[in-house]
Amino acid sequence: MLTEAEIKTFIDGAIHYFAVSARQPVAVGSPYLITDGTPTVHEYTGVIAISGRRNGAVCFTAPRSMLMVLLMRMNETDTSETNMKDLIGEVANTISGNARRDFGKEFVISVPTVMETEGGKFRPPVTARPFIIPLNWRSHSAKLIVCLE
Amino acid sequence: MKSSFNWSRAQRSPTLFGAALLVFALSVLWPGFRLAGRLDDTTAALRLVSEQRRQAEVVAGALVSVRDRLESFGYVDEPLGEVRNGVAELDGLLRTLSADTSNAGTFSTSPGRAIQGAEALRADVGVLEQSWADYRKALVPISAFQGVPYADSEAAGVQLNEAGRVLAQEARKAIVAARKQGPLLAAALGKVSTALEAESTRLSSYLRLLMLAALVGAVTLGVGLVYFLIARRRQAALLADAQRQTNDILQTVKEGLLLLDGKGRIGATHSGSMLRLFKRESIAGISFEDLLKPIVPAKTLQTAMRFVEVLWSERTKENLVKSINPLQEVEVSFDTGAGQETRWLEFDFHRVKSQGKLVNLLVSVNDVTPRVRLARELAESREKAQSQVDTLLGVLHVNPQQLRSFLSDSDAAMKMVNAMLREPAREESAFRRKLDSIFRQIHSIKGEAAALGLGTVESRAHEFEDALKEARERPSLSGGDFLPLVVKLDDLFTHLGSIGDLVSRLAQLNYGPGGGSEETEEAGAPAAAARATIAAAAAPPPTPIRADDPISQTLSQLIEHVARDRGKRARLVAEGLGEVPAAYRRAVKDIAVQAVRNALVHGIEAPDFRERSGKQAIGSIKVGFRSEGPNGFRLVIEDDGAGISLRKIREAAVNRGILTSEDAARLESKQLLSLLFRSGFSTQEVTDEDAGRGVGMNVIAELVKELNGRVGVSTGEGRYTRFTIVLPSVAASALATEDVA
Repeated sequence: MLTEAEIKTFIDGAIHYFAVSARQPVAVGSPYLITDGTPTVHEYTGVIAISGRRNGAVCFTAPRSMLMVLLMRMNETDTSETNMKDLIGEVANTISGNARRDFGKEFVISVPTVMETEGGKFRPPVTARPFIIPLNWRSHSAKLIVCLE
Repeated sequence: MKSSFNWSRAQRSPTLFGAALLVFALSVLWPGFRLAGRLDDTTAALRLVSEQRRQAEVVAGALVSVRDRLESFGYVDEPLGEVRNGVAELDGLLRTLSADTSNAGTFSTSPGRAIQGAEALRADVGVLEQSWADYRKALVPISAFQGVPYADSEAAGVQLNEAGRVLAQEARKAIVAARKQGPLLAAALGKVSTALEAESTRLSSYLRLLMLAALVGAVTLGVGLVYFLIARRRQAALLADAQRQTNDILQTVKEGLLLLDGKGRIGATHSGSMLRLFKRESIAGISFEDLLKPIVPAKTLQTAMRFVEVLWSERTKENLVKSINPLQEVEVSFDTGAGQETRWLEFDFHRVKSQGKLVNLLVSVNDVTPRVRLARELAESREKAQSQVDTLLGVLHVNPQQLRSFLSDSDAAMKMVNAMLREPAREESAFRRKLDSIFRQIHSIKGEAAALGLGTVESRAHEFEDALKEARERPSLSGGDFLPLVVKLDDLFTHLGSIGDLVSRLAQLNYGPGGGSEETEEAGAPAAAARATIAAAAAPPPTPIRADDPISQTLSQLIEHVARDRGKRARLVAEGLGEVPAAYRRAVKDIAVQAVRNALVHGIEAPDFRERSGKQAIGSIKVGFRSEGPNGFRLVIEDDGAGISLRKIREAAVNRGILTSEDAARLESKQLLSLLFRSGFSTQEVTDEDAGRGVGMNVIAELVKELNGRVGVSTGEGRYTRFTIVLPSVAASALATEDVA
């Protein structure tokens, strides 16, 4: 069974990114489960594959509008697709780095990959029920998807 | 690592050989060197004497020449020079020969090198000295002559002058002396020469003997050296063989072996497996700490190093220390470049002593990954099997219809909880509303699980309630506070899913091809009845097993379980529960479950207390449901227990800060009783699985409210408690629900 501490580590990674890079805290919404197995994702998704003590994936997915505002907040004028992908990868990378630090050698955490997933659904690599953690920032909402078994 | 090689012997041989060489040098070569020196001195002396043997004759000839030339007024400087030279040479010889004659008769030709045995020459040298002294006296006036011996005048021509005449006279005297002393001197020189020759011969003999001894010694040493070299070579071969065997063992053994010194450094020799086990190219010379640092957590490393430190303390018993070995089975992690590889290593430590002193620690390392993985897999499958057995035993006794209904209701309730969680909320009040709603759903699941005796579900729901209570007590709420709830919801989903899977599999066994469906409950065997129960839960049975309606069955079981747990006795008197319309069945069941549980926990007294109070030992809980025509339905739950203590409600309201003691004292009984339906209100101080959170009554109130009904409570202290729930007709309720929507 996935523990609260394990999920919290990933949430903390995202909180840390917004606090440091965007200099504006993100509010964690009430988490819930996906019972049909395929969570919906926003336009951009950064995926971290995890193996070792747990297997599965952790995703950070955010809408284009949120990433655009985030880029502007970071004084970045280039809001091209490439920059959006870089940004989502950076958030995923921070989450992954935080997990590496907290979990140590028990978890094997991959380098994040970025997907452009407009209106799509994320198919988790394992059958575990995905946890969705809404992340509300300004008027936008992103999601952290934790699907580990 | 045992060796047949004699190390002490190997170390002793070069020492012995070196000592023998030293003894040889001191006993043969050094005397030889001394003897050769003496021989050299003697030879030199002999040569000197030989050279001077004819010196007396030369001097005599020179004297004759002086005399003759003086008589013929010839040139005399030349013979005079010969006389002077002869005197000087013989003086020198005598000085040499007699230099140390005062020193106990020794004879020496050079300082510090006395000729042994020269005492025999002493007399001869004395004679020689005497002869020379006499002879020399005659020669001194001649050798001392300076000037011209002639005088030239016109009158007389060349004549001897006075000095010349004296010189001529002395020359004649000297010639006489030479005739007398010359042979004596020559004879003395001859004797000395003979003695020196004898000495030289003697020394040569000694030297030859010494050389012979040296030769023998050298041959002996040579033989010894050859023997030593052969032995050394043999020993080296043995050593190489032992080394090869050790290397073969170290390279072949799968166990990692290394030696640690007092400073924690790893020795140069270790088994080849060490490099494979630790995925390193070299480990020699690094510290044990450096070896472990990259592969174990900092805390484990710290504990391990303290343990090694304790091992070095000889006062502690090795076996005792080994029992607390923190590296007995340690998880290690290697960075392979492509990720982390986790393995398990087993370390064992042995003290290595030499002459009773602890000199090293022998560390053996084994890769026990397959064993650990297998053990874990076994434990997991055992746990899973045990869990399945527990679940199986838990569901075997449950009525199939009730179980099916419970699984379906619980699934719906959990999905409802998930939907509530999913509902967007950013404000505190919204979060608190979520918590209350979730509480009611979980409490319903828990109530029914308890009624059915599904302990594993009940305990999970109870833990869920604990988490909910903790969240409720937080001064402020955010989305993150719901994380523990989602984790518990996931667990509950999984658990109920596994019950569903188990029930389905057992149903297939019962109804599937060759599943042995011949047995029926009529056979009376408990196992057959159990299978029938489970099969019925998974799929509708051909006929109901019991005539009772599911709500009555649920309530009967609830009373049975809770009464047993609390040491009470009670019976259900059900009426009309089979007539509950389908639309109200879930709600009526939930309301009845909560009310009956409350009746058992708070109302029905212990049997002995009841008897002392003049009541029957077995309490009675009546649950009646009846239709009231167009006015809807009436559900009455009544127990003959202790009733509700208004005093306790007042105390609880004051203790929980809901009312001040003055307000509580002022409230009437009706107002006080209404507090029971308030969320989180309970008169029980301690929370347990059956009561104490103040949720049950709130669930009743909320359910009745959702159905647009009314709830009333009446009580007589020490006599009864009665809940009356009035529900509208189904059509009216549906209409009201649509209006609300």
